[in-house]
Amino acid sequence: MRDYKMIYNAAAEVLSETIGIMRGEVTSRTGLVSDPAIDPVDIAKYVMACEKRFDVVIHDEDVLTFLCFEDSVRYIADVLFEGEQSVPIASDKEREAWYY
Amino acid sequence: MSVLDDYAGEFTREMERLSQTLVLARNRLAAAELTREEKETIILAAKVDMPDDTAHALAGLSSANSFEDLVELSQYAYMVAEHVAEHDSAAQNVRRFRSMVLKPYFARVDFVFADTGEKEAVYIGRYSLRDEASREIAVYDWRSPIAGVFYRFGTGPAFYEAPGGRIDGQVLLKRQFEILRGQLEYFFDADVEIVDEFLRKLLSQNAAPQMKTIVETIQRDQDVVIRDQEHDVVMVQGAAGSGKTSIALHRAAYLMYQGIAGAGLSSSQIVIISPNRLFEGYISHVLPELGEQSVRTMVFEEVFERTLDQVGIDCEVQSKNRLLEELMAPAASAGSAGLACQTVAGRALAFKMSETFVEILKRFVYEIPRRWIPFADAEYGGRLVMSRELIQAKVLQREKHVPLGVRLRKTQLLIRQNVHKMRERRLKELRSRVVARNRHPFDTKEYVRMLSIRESTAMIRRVKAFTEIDVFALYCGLFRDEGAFYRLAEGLSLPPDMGEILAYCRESLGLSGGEEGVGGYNSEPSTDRFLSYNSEPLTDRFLSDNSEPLTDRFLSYADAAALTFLWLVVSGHRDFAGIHQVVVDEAQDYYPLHYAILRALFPKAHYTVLGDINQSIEKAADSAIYSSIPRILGKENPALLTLSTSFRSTREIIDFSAGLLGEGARIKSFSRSGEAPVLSGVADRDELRERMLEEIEVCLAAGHQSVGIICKTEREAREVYRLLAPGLRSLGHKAPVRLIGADCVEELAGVSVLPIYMAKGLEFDAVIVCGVDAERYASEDDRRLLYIACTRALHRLSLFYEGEASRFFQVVQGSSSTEHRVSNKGAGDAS
Repeated sequence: MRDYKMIYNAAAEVLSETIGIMRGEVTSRTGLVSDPAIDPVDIAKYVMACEKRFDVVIHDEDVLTFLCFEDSVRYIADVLFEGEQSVPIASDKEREAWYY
Repeated sequence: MSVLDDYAGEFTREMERLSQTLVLARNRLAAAELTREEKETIILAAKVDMPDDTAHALAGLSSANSFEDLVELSQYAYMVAEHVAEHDSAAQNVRRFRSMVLKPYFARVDFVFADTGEKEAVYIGRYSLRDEASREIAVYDWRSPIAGVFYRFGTGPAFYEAPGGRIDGQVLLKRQFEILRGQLEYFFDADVEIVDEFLRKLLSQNAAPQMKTIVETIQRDQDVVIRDQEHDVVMVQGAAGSGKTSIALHRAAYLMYQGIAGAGLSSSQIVIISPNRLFEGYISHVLPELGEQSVRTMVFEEVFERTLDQVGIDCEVQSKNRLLEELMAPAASAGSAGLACQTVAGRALAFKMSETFVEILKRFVYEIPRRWIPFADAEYGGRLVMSRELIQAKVLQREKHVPLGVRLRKTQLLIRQNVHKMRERRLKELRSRVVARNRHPFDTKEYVRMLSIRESTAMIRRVKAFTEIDVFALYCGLFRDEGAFYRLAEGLSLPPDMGEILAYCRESLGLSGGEEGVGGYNSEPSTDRFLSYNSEPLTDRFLSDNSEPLTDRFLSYADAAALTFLWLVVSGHRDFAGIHQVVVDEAQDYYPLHYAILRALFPKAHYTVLGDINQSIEKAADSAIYSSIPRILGKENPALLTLSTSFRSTREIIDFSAGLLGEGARIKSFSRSGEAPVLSGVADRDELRERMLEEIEVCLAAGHQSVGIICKTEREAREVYRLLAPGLRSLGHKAPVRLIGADCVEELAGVSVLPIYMAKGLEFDAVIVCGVDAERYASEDDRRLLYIACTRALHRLSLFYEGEASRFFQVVQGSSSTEHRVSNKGAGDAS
């Protein structure tokens, strides 16, 4: 899991599975905590699934900062890239992987 | 003189030398152009490929997914960026050599080195030019050490400071050239610093729409300022038109040139604090013309907005211009001799920006962790994580030089780490509780996690209540709690009407009426529903609904400044750690609080501070500011230099303006004479319009390219603009007429109507000051405003009034009656 784009895509899959919305409908602005229609238990589910998928610890007291989907992706990316650049520049090979 | 006897022979030799240099410059230009083209081809090729590679990302840019598409695009931009940087540097060389082909140098100094006896003819230009083949320097950069000889010495013994130490010698010859489009027109020899004739010719030209470079005419005094590298703070008190701003910019260019040698600065390490955006635009061309990259300019409002944005206060900040309008407006309309400081608003401003208040704020910061932060026990899952006493002790014990905000953040981290250690056990407890109640048999795990999230959120909010500082709430608290205020002010000399000022401050902060006021901006209302789930009663004070939105709020200039200072000191930001040189222009208009903010923003920087105590707008300034500035900035090695010769205006205009300042104002003028200023009275608006249109006609016919019509306030400027615009248009002038309002960046060619405070630092060929009547210009503040307005003129100055002329002109007429071409009516009224 070396770059932001991959984390984003993987997290979007997790979100669509746990919250039950179509993958194509997930955008960076999709509401999590800020969306009153989403059950808090579902958010807990999403958090747990992310921890499993990315092998990271998401601290409970930070979850409520996930106002929208992108906030959670940034959090995970920050944990994964801790001590590195938060959005690393992808190599040419990785860039190819996004497109082909 | 022997050289001049053979002028024709010398001229031929100089022609030869010029053509050799031009060949060299043309070769270098061709080489630079080639490099630039190569890079351009590479970049263009990359751009051609780019749409193919990123088309799908581009298509997504307008959609909600724009963020990751932007990330994709940035990858491509990065690839090209390196080539672009090389291209830009080649393009900069092309620009330099293009200007060298037109005028490779402007001066020559023949220097004999004392130690070797060798003689060298040193040609000085804007940039250096080296003969790549012979490795010889054909033209020296004006900023090189040896070029200093030209600016500082006449013929005779001289020296300069080279990197290896002082070099002594003799100047045998000083020569200045006029070269136009690669053709030598003439040259002057001189034994003084800069040939007067040469300077006079340059000065008599029209004002450029943008500030010009002065490399060819830098005076000895100015050169001292430009090349100073010894002092932490270089302060310049310069009369209007003495070239303060030019010097500041040339100094910036000099410091960047030093960067080539390794010890100097790059453009990103210099910042210029400029009074307004119009001024920013006006000076923006100087550095590129000197062959350097533009440096960053900042206005204080920008600093405030940036900071308040980070604090999370979303409200409109009063701009300096609006503040000035408000301070000047009542005095103008009431017709009273209203100094700005006579209104409560003016006095409150003066107090909040004063050194006394800075000291109070500093003491306040010290007191915050001791008295103001509501430290509480940190509890989690019914267990004590850290006691209140321990937390406070941790905060107070940490290293003193670490800012409070950082100490608090570290303490919060410590609490969190302790909580993390307790989490597993807590989850087990919650699970057994849920299982016992058998409420959620199918998603027990998730339900338990949700409970834990909720509990942890409540915990972190309670901890944040004392580990994240609400600067705004604290600032309000300072004014709400008068007892605390006076305790902090103990031993300081407060204004006699402190009570009234405090009441006014409370009102402007929206604190009057004793309600709780605003606070809690860092509560997160959108997450409250999580907490409302919680069965346990919450004592969290953030849940009570006192989070009045700040969006519609309006923050006064002084409050914004004070909040900025408070936040900077508390948070210990590192945004400008790379800035090494700060240039402050119009220094007299800044208050102690401004300098305290600068110190907090750029703690390690060196400063160049330029001002004129006679040109302050809403407050009286005296030379004491030059002793307080280094003290507030915390610099121990200051230097104050005075420039008293004005190069901008004609002698007549300078004498007239100096007369306005009254006794003791001595401004030397460079000997250039012109028409005397005209003060005329008009009966009514119609006559004013007629007379002003006539005057504009005359100015434009005389070839003056920029005419400034200066009014006291923006409102007046708008009125005058409305009065004149139709008339001017019907005259069919090609020169554009425009109203320059708050912060619009425009060129100054043509006719501009603008308020005085916007005109500061600018210059016009001809200036018309309107409405200089006794009512409008009565106070001491007004006296300085008139001085500012009059000193904007290069060649021609006329003033109009209705009714009675301002009393300040009586002094002018008394002191130099013969020189003024005052129209009959004006003379009768004023004397």
